[in-house]
Amino acid sequence: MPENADQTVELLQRWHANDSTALAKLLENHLPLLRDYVRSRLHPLTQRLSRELDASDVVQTTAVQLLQYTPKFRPRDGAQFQALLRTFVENALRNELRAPRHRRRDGATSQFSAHVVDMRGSSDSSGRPDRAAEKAEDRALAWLALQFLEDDDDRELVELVAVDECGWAEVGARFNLAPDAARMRYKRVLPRLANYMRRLREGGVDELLAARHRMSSS
Amino acid sequence: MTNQSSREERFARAATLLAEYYQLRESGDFSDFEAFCATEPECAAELRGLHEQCQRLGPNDDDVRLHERAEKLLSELQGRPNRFGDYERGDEIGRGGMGLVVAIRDRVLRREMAMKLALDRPSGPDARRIERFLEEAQITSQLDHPGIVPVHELGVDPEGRAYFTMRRVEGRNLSEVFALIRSGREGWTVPRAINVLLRVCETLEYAHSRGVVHRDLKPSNVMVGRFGEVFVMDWGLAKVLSRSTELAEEQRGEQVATHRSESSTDHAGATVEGDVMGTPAYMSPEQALGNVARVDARTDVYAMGAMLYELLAGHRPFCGPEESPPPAVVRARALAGPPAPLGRQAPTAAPELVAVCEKAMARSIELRYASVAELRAELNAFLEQRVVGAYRTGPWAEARKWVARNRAFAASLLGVLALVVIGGGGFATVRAEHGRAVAREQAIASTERETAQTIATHFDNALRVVFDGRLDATQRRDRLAQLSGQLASDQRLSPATKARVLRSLGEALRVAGDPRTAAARFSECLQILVQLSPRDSSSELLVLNALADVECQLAHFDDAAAHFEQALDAARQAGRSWVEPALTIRSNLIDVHLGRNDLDAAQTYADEIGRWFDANDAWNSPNGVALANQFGRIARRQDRFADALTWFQVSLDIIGDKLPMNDDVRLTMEGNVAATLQGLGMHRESETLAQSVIARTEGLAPSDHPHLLAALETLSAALLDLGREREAEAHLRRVLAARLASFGSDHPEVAKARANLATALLKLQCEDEALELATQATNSLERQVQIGSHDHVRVLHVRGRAHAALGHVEPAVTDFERVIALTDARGPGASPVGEGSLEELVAVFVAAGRWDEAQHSIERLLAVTPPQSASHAAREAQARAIRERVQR
Repeated sequence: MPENADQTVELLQRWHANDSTALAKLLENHLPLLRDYVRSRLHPLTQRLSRELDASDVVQTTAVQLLQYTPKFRPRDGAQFQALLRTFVENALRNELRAPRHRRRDGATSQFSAHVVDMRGSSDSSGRPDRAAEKAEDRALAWLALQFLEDDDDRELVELVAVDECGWAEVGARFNLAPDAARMRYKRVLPRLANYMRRLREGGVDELLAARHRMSSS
Repeated sequence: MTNQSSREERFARAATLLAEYYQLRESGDFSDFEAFCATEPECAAELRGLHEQCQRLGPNDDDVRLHERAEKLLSELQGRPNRFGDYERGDEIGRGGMGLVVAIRDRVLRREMAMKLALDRPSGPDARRIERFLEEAQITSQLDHPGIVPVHELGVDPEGRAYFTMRRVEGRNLSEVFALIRSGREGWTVPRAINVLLRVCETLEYAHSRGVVHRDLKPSNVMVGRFGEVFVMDWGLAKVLSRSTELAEEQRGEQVATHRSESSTDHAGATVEGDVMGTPAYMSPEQALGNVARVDARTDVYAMGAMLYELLAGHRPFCGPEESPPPAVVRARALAGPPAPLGRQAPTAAPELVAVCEKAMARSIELRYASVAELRAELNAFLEQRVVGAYRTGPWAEARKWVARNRAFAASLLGVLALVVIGGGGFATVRAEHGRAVAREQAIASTERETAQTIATHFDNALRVVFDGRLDATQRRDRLAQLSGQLASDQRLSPATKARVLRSLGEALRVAGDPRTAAARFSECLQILVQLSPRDSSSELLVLNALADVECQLAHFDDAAAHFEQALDAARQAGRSWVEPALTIRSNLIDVHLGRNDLDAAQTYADEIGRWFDANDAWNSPNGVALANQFGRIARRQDRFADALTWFQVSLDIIGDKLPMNDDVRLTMEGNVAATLQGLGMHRESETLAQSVIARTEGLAPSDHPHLLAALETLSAALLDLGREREAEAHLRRVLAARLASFGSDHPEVAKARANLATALLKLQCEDEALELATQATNSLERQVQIGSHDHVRVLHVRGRAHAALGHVEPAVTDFERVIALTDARGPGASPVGEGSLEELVAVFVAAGRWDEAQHSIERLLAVTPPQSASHAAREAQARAIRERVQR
């Protein structure tokens, strides 16, 4: 445990209040532990990564991503935050092995696209603050929930559709499926994703992490 | 198993089932989600929760279909030759969420045009925008209206972006126009801008009739061309209503057949629940909430109201002056509540327009104008200085507006009103009172044990006779007379019982339309009652009141006044000065004194009741309505027109919305007001109101219902003045038939109906039938000793006109002279009919070449013509001509 729980939560709050020193402190506190974890537990994965993309880059990028989403999901303490980081880093490394980010669509973000869980329509249409906040929360939860999907293909498929905004033809081509079949697979994954979102919303993150850990160990 | 683990298992199972459901739905085996939930009751709640979350996660099937449709359509367009190469691209004109508009020149046809280019290619999240872009082109091209810019070509440019070309409109958008109004430049005014809004309404009416709702109306989407042409632009967010919507139901067969409307179920989801489109300041609450199912034509009504708000307030709704908050803030305000009250934002704006705006922008969709057509009618009414329904509804307001437009004419016509209202409304009130009196009598009779059986038998017999549908009016009266004789000779009855039976018979006769015999029975009853010991002051009061009532019917106003006064004395002696029927008696006395032309006496009684109403806070009642109406009539007769109108307003305000639309009192009042409007020369308004009364009465009441017949007479009078004699004739024949069926041929109402029909026939040049009817009417009234009554004078006048039209000089002269004599007897200026007869007399003598008599008549006419009146000069000229002729 890098430090007491209150400090992580407090640092997160400060960072999201635009205190850049808090981010540095958070990374300083958590990245060494994360790198140790990657080196000790995920060595096989990192060895298979291409030279251009160092594992430490993945670790740092993933950590920052998680930090971006945590305002919507406030970790209980530093230990829980570290556990989440480990899960996400592992996922990120797996994804990189399957389909490196630079091979994906240009300009795609690493976040759930606003259009997926946001109001759509004209540029004038996104103004209702409570709805916007609700959607942002959904977006953050969806991204967190995505990390708990057991199947790498499912996770990638959802990312392709929801994060990279690929069309069904493109998604289908990635999985060697017809566009309709790709869409149907996505639809089949969605209920599980929704269920994970619910569990996160209800504070079931420890159970999800434990299940995920069990699965990784096996 | 713990509760928690059980719950998690249910959710896990629900997630699996939901995935199966999506599979089934895709294969078309199951589409109704609720039905699916019903098959899994154990985890139905969990299913719903996860399904809702999945819906929010998207992209859903509808997005996919949109994407595919957009791709397909674009692919088709790419396969077709287009004229893109013929266009010379100019400057960018505008840019929106879906595309940019550029000026182009068609090199081949040498014309200036505009081109709208899609910003996106159809992929992922852009599919929706592309779909809308294409639909905008399709919808616009199918809406063929002068207020919608025509689309010339839809195609795809070499870069794969969709475009469509359209006419280029040179001019200003309404937003710029509003700015010009604020700065007072280029002659733009609020009324002129309202005219533009009217044109927008017309265009929207057309679009709505085709099942299309614009959904993004705002001043910048309305273009005003250099020559005044008005266009509604940017149909990119337009919604084609599904066939199940009300609007589409009404306009079936006229719906725009877009790609979207061809698959209405797809369309329902094409704009998903929660989808929010439009511009916040002009967005209705249902639109701002993303409640797509609620969006219909009234959404555009709201936006029209928002534009009107901006016009009047000088700034957009939900934005302060000089304030430009971000759209999100505007929408938040729009969702939180209504905009700042327009009355405060635009204190100098016409209150009618403020009311129209507020109604159009009502937050509840049901409270808005039901259609743009209604809104247009209101704006039109404002521009034409007619009554705006949202501001104040009702004939009073109509009258006030009309007076504002026609002040001089109104003053000259108001004098006629009293006669119309007394003639029409008074009778209806009396008849209603008769019905109530019969019911009262029945109740009283049944409570008096000693005579109950006898009275009940005779009373029942009487009523059965009166109301037996198998008897005509004559038979009814014969049977009643027979019954009356039997009762008179029945020695078994005590005087008190006999008096009661006579009273009952009197009531029955009155209802049967035989006021003369009824009066005789009441008189006999009264003679018995005054000899009773001890006196039965209650019965005396009731009989006196009833007797006076029928005397009113017989136009025996002096007798009626005397009997009402006696009745009132009886009430006072009984200590019932201010309880029924004393209040009604006072009210009747007002009518009687109005009939006697004793306005001071009428005013005295009205003031007396008014003071009592004040002290007892009794205005807010049906009696208050009646008294206000009487005050209005008195004021009118005293030429206090402003007071009269105020009183009518009071009376209508008391009614307010307390009475249902088909209530007797409301119908009576509205019928009276329709007659008043007719007298004011507001023929069209009178026609509308009379039609409304007729519509509400027909089907609910018998075909001879007094309100219905009175309204038909009013309607006919309006139609005659509007030159629609044939329609009037048909209505008047119907009225006459109904009156004959109800009363037989000798009732005053029948005489009136005959005279009305005769008047219409004279206009139709059917003089023979007119003469016959007028003669029947005259004879009937004279048989009823109605000589000198208002109706009698009127039918004589009509008969004189019929004789004159047929060239019967002497009979015509006789009738007109009688009218003049009878009206003279009622006091100077008592009747415009008398003046009319003098005019007719002059015309008859001139036509017959009897110049000396013509001169004598015209001098008489001049003597009663006020020198300041409009007709004086004409009559003076006519007199000069006749004098010259006599001298020659």
